[in-house]
Amino acid sequence: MASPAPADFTAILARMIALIDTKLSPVQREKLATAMPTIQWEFPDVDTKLCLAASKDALCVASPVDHAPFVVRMARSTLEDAAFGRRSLGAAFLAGRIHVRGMNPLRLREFIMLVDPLLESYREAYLESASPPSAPVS
Amino acid sequence: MNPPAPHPRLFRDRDADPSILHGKTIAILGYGLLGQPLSFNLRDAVGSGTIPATVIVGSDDEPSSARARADGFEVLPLVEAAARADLALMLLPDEVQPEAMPAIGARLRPGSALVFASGYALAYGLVTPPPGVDVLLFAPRMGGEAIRQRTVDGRGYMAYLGVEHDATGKARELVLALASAGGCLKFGALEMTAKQEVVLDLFVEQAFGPWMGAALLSAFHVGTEAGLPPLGLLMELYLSGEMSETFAQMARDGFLPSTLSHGFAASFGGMTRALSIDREQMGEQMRAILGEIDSGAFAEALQDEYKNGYPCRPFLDKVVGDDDIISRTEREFRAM
Repeated sequence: MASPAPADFTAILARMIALIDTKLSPVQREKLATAMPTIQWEFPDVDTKLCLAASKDALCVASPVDHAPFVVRMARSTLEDAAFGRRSLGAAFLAGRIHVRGMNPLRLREFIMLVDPLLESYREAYLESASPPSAPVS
Repeated sequence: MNPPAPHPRLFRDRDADPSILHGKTIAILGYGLLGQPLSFNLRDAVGSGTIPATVIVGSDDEPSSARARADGFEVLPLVEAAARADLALMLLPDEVQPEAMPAIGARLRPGSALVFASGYALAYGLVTPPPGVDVLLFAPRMGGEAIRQRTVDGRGYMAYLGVEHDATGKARELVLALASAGGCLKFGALEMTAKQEVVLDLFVEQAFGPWMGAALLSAFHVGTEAGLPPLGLLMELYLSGEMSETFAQMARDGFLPSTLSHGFAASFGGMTRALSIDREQMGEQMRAILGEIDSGAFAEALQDEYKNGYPCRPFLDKVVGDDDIISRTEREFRAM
């Protein structure tokens, strides 16, 4: 499976966030917004940063900042391997392929709540981008 | 900088009179990691005829109850065992104790003793033992298997002891007798409060343990990336037992002398590299962890995890249970 070009990757991530939003319940969204209102995702191998901002009403994409309080950094392939079941995030974390900075470990539960919807949403967004909707038949 | 706290009092067998356990019923509440070895130790010590006493097990968990019955113990529901006890050892998991305590406490007889093997529930005010019972701390600092083995070997093991509430006026004698019969005073036990015990325990688990684990993982992955054989790395790190021998040597000969016993190259390389480690950052993180333990924030998170059905557990189990290269290498070595 070929990896998307960086610009497409950013678009997939943005779409991923929109899809995550549909998978979280209002209660989960509120918990996430309270525990970690912003999570900056960084993919240094493709020079991409994206900030997920959570409020009780919605998740949205925000502008990345230089000194984000909570950062998750990994290679794009690490995310893709996890999303497509080739290697779990847990194994990647043990192998030092995921770096987390600024997370309050006592709020791990809120972060974990995000993991499965995130991987599922990335997979869906990726597959959507690989097969754009066909033109309507006239 | 504050001056170091004074040494706690150290108790040994000479300070205890186990004969005061004569005729008493000791109930082990929870037959798990600690419950099983302590039951064996106490049965050997006080059920053998020299000090006739009875050891029973309280358990509401069927697999644990079955194990205790198979080990030859009389097993009762938790509250029934508490009602029979002169000494009840609370060995349920820390986070479970607050929920179990009201029913157990209601059945304890005035003048009996409730003994905690961890200061957690007491220190954070999560349990309220009835006022007429002695509340004691007997907290072994060793895994269950080692507790039993070291007792059988006659070496004893380290524990913390304390009296949180002395209702009978005999609380200290009782906890010392129990510790002696439980096998620990051959090595020695330090006097601690429940709060000191739990903070020490959680601090070392959460501040030191993760750094050691992270250092081990990083060394393994940096080495394998550079082409070093994974099995060789694991051997160097822990699989050969050299590292555990080093820790044993630290305990025997002293931390600093042990650093000099691996030859000049090892001490020159180790000490010079240690200088470049950012201990300020390490210390800052450790202070933050200690703050969260001391304030009760960690206990609050753990209780929240328990009340919500352990939502983090599947994630943590999956990390540990994944088919990673370290586990694969260990399996391959064992199959060689």
